[in-house]
Amino acid sequence: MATIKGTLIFRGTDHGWTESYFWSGTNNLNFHTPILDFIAQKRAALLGNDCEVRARRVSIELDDANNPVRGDAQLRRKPVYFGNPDQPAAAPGTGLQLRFENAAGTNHKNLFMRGIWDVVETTDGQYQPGAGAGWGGAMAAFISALLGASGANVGWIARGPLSPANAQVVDYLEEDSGQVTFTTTADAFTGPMVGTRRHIRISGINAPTKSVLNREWVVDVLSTNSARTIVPVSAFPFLSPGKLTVYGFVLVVAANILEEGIIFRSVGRPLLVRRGRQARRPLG
Amino acid sequence: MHLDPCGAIMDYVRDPYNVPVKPFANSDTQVTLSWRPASPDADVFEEQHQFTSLFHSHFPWADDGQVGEVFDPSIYHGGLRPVNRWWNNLPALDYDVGLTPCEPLEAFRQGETFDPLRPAAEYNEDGFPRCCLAYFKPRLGVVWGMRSVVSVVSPLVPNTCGGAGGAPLGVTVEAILPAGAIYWYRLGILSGAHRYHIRYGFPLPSGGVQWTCTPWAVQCLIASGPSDFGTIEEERDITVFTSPTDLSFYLFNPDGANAHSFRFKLTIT
Repeated sequence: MATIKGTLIFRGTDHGWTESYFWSGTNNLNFHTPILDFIAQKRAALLGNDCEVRARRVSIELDDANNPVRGDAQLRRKPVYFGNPDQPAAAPGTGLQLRFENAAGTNHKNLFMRGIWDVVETTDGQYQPGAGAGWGGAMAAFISALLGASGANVGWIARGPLSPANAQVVDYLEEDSGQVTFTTTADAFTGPMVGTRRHIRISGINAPTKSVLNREWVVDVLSTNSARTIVPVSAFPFLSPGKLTVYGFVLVVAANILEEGIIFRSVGRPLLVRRGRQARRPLG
Repeated sequence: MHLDPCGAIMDYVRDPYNVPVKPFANSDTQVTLSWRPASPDADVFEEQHQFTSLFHSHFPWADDGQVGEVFDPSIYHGGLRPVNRWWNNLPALDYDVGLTPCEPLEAFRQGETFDPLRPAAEYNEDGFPRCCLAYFKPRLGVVWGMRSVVSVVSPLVPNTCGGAGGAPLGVTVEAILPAGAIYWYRLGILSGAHRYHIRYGFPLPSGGVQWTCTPWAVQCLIASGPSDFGTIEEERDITVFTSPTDLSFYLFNPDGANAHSFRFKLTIT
């Protein structure tokens, strides 16, 4: 089963934002558009006045074998789902944090919901779900939709190590193009990975000195023991080995969704305002 | 490259930008695509397709040579997070609404077939494909309940919107007014007050537009009768005396054969 990403595109009074949900299913997106449509209706009930679900978007992110892909996407705009006309919306930077947990409670993912009713947030930032008549039922319906009522069990894409625990970078070379080719211990990459693009992490290389190579990279896998960065990077010559982690991706299905509380996050540039020059920053 | 959505919304992003794309199914040739803001009334491209923005992609780097936007590592930090885009600040066009893509819809998923012998696509002064505009002129699209196009008919053939016996209202008609007149009818409108809302596109014919419905003299009445409209948007009331009544709506272009074609949108509630 492929992993599907459903994105709701919201519009507030002067700001826009998105929320994304993931679930598994067929590659035919016509099956998934109604699922997101159902979720959008329930989510819209939690929006304040002047907020709306502007559009819905479903896309394929992992193939049947959990390989990252840039799959097809499908859009829907009509009907637009409007927020509750009787409930003013909270400030754009205010939102409710939802915590998605797996069945064992060992993994979680947070979702930041903007555009909520102003009445469920006190002036000092406390969450008071009982203050808004109908909020509790609407929230329960939304969570129920995410946990299966929509036709899908929603979750998130998590990553974990795929390579052997002792995989190491034993050498690297900066090529004429500026890209760096890592040489690794044998079979750090499996045969099917050769010729594909992978997300890796390098750590501890050239220790005890710091190296710009010690972070996450996207690489093209050249063989079972070599890979090349897709961007140029300037690094000092190789001194000592480091650890290599190849990430794999998998859908984690949520078993519980909890209302954590009110949190604040800065908002982006207002809608329909052109990009301009960056504001001057102090020197030094 | 002939692939173009002709004004349909392909994705939602904050600003339009330029990006290399691979449009062909049978060639790795890349071209620079310029995204443009959609018109406010534009519909989305509802088919499953590949020509979306990589902004929404969870793995934009997962490029296996498919058609669509080409992942450009130089604008991604370490290949992971976008740090820059070639913003183009292009404006929306007011006429790119309700058009039909010239290429088959499947090409938006599989890519256009590269044919070096095919004549190049032609563009107008706005950089908009002339093919899209040519496709629109002879058509009348009926949008039912603002959800989807249910029929496409010639503008000179009366179109029944609804059906006999109390047809639902709330129908929107989008069309182009050619030289002369255009008309359509609705069956079984119940007696009482109704309202129609009309919005015009540019350019308006120099002589304005005349509107009426028949048989208005005995069965229906428009608030002030037939009139010239010089405004862009207008609402009028219709009173139907006999129930049910079959109404014919006429939109006249008084400039006759010398008139410009222009777009209008009518909603009856």
